[in-house]
Amino acid sequence: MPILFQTAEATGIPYTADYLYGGLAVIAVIMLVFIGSLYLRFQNVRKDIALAEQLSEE
Amino acid sequence: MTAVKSMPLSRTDAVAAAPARPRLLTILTIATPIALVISLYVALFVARTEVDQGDVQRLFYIHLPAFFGGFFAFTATVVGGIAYLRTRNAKWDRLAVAGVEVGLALSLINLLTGMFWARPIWNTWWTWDPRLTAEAIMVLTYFAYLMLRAGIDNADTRRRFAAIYGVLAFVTVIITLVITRIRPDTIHPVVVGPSIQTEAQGMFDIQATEGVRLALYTGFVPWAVLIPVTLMWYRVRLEAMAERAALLKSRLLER
Repeated sequence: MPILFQTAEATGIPYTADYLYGGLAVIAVIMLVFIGSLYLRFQNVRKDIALAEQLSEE
Repeated sequence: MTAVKSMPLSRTDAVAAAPARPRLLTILTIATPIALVISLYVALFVARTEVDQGDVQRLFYIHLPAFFGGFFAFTATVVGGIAYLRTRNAKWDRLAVAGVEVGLALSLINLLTGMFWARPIWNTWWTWDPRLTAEAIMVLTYFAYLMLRAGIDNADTRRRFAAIYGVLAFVTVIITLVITRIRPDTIHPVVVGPSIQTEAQGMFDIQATEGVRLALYTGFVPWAVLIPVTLMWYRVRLEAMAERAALLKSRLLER
């Protein structure tokens, strides 16, 4: 059985889970920022293309 | 122009401006988060806790694969750079810039998870160890790549300079990769493969803790393969669309 979330007193293993959670949070932030940035840039460039095509038709 | 502003583009117009998504990319887009969830489950709940380090050692199952994901992405930059210099085809430049952006994201994950691991194990967030210093230089070098691209207006000049820079910058990746095997004074552990280091701190036996190998291999699938490939593919498509937008704008200005 994994002993994640258990205390050091119960297992004798050092309690370092808080740093694990911190690391996981940083990973989530980096991935969300990157994917969010890609999404926003896609939206903007799609609008740019649609606007440019609309203007060139007029 | 005023008339156009008064007619905002609908979402349908914007979507129509995008090329159709290939089936393989759709499959990758679905498979990547599934593989990510499975790897996290194995890392957090299947692998047993390392007895000397505690739960923070589980970051290793992302830390190491993320480095190789970055390595893979930066290798794509080299391939794209060399191919662009040989063919002058813009598609290779798109691959190169995609590799740098994705490689940077994964390298930052590698660097920051390392810091969170180091705090309880080394009792410091950062030390100027050869491996850490090499990786910091690598990350800064690739940030400079993006700054270089942003600073050159002419597309051909930008692509040519970026291709040369992207190829040369790979030296920092190679140094980061091998430095723990050629410098004996590093305290960064080498968990997989031979090493000449003498003062590693936070070392652990990959076979002593049950589930380490499984968690590591499961982590390699999303972090070193699926995430870099999927994100680079999207970034390449974005660059292609941005080039199309720039072309349309320049045609409009010429009228």
